[in-house]
Amino acid sequence: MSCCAPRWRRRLRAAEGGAGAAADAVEQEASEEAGAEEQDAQPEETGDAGETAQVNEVTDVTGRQVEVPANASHVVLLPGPAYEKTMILGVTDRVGGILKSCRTSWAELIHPEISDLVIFDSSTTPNVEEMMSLGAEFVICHDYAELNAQLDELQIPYVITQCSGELPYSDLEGFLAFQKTEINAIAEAFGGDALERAAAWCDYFDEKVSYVRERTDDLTDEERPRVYYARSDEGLVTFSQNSYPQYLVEMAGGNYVAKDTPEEMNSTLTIEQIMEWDPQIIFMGRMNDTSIITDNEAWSGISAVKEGKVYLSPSGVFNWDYSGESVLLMLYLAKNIHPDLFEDLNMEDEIKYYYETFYGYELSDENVQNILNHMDPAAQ
Amino acid sequence: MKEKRRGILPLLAGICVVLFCAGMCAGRYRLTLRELMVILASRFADIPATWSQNADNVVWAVRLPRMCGAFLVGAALSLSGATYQGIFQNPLVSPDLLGVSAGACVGASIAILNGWPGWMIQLLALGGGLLAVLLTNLIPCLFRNRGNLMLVLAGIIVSGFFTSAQGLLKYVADPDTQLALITFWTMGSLAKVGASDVLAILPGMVVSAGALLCLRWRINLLAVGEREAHSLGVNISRLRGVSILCATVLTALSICVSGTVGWIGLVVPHLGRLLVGADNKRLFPVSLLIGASFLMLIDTFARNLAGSEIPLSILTGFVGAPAFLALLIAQKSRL
Repeated sequence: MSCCAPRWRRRLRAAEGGAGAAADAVEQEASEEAGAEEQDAQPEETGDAGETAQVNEVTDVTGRQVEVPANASHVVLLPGPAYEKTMILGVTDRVGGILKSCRTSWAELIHPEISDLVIFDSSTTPNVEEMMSLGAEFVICHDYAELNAQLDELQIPYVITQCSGELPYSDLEGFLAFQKTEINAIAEAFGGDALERAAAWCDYFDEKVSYVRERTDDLTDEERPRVYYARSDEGLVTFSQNSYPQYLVEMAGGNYVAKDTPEEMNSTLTIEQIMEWDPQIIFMGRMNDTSIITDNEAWSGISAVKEGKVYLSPSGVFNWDYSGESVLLMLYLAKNIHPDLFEDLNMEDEIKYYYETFYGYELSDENVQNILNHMDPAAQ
Repeated sequence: MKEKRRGILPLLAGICVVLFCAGMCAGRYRLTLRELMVILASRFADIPATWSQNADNVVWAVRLPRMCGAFLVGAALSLSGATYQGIFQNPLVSPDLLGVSAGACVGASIAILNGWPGWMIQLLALGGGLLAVLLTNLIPCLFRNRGNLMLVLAGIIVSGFFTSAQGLLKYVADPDTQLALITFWTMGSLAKVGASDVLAILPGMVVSAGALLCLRWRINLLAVGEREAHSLGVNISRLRGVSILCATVLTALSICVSGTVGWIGLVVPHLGRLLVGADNKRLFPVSLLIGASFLMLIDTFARNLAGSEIPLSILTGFVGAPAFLALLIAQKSRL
């Protein structure tokens, strides 16, 4: 890919160099790296007649064009995986309020100041008065029609980065593009160095995706083991059709058994259906205890249980199965589904590298084990 | 005509058995009738295992406990519904009148929010249900008025309070995992019923149901009015107390394993009354069998209609509400 340092490293370095110079962040384009950008929606200075306020132009994941005030410093984040994006983009100091679930123990470890932020309890019906008293310049949110209408009425600009119901993609390429559109939309809204950092993350994402796909794309159906990804609740709730785990498992060279089950997020299955699929490998999403499945008599005849192939799904700054860290989940899945193909892949190193590169945080070995075991940083 | 009605109990028992067998045969896991029989027989005779461990588990660890659970919960809810309707002399009464469902939901939600394991959820559901009914029974004492109306009003107060508490718990629940679990639980499901659950609720259910079946002649006396019954030598408040206790235990134990399942306790006694009349002596056993059959049927659909599990209350509502309307039309002269 590159001669010495990876491209995203160089981008990040450039972004950090620019940060000092751009004391008054009106200078949006401090770190222009020639030809690096293909984004059409660069922040612009719209010095319209009499208007002194600067705005950033954003194209969100629904294709909507929106202008948000530049230099915002009380931004409200309503989707769960939005705070980790601001961590990647280095703009956590410009966030004013977050959804409750953004405040994970790992986010708090890296950014203790997260505990001072205003907490919103719901991403569908947040307290808008709270938002106004906070002075939110703009809001990152889902495409919930009622919330969007309410924000329109209050004239609070909003950027949609997550979709409920109708998803804007229905195949792998769409899914991959969506991951990048999401972080880019948030970067456009914050402007400045965030754009460089988003581009760096996208480069890293692309490289890891091609690293995995180069080895798995040619696998035949027989070489792809049946994989079940349990989400929660004694293992009977799963992510199904069109979900992140479906695409991640498929890229990692598995056959995702719930790929034809409707409802993306929360499908409750019958145990008989799972027995009928007879998965060869099981990953447990938002749980930290494999005994929920391995000690349950009803599961005891399933191939994955018999062969001891029931694994936890790790969890870091946000759930690995629905966040930017899903790129790490893809690696983890690949390593566990095809250990022979990914012998050179060291998960501990990958996690440390990701946290250092994108969050600027150096994890201890113990930290890494806790992430892999779906535990809090404090866990022993 | 009378001859035909006498045969109704064996007939219903027969339907129950047929539905039980049908439910055992139906499932997402493909199993032929022959395999099913052999696997069932294998525990009693020495048959070399030619089937997979999954097939064995489907029969013994999944379907059998689940069908038994459906039988018990359906029977318990409708018997307790018939009891409540008998005690309160009101056909619109259902087992959650005195707050047992609301209390059980709060108990279960507290356990879910704390991330406690399944058996704690069940224990707290039982405790919550019993606590709510106890509170309902204490309120009339404040007014030294132990009439039915006071008790019903107390039930409304306690249910209302617990419903709000439930709302608060849902509000603070993690929308990602806990809320879905709470919602699914309040809609009712037998998906997680295992053999240990069935064995845990069985003794309490048998004792309570047995007591109610023994008392069913006396509950008839409540219909003649409190004073008259008293003059016949029946201690009304004790009879009422014992019946409410038994019916509440039945409902609370059901909720423990299945969550709250609507409509059964309300509709099934009506169906029973249409078949055998209002005499509790016959109504109680008939309601019990119809309720058991009904829930076994509904649960068979709940786990077969789609690859994913359908909450029971959705199906009981779709079947129960129109059935209730039809029943009202059929017996409009009697209401």
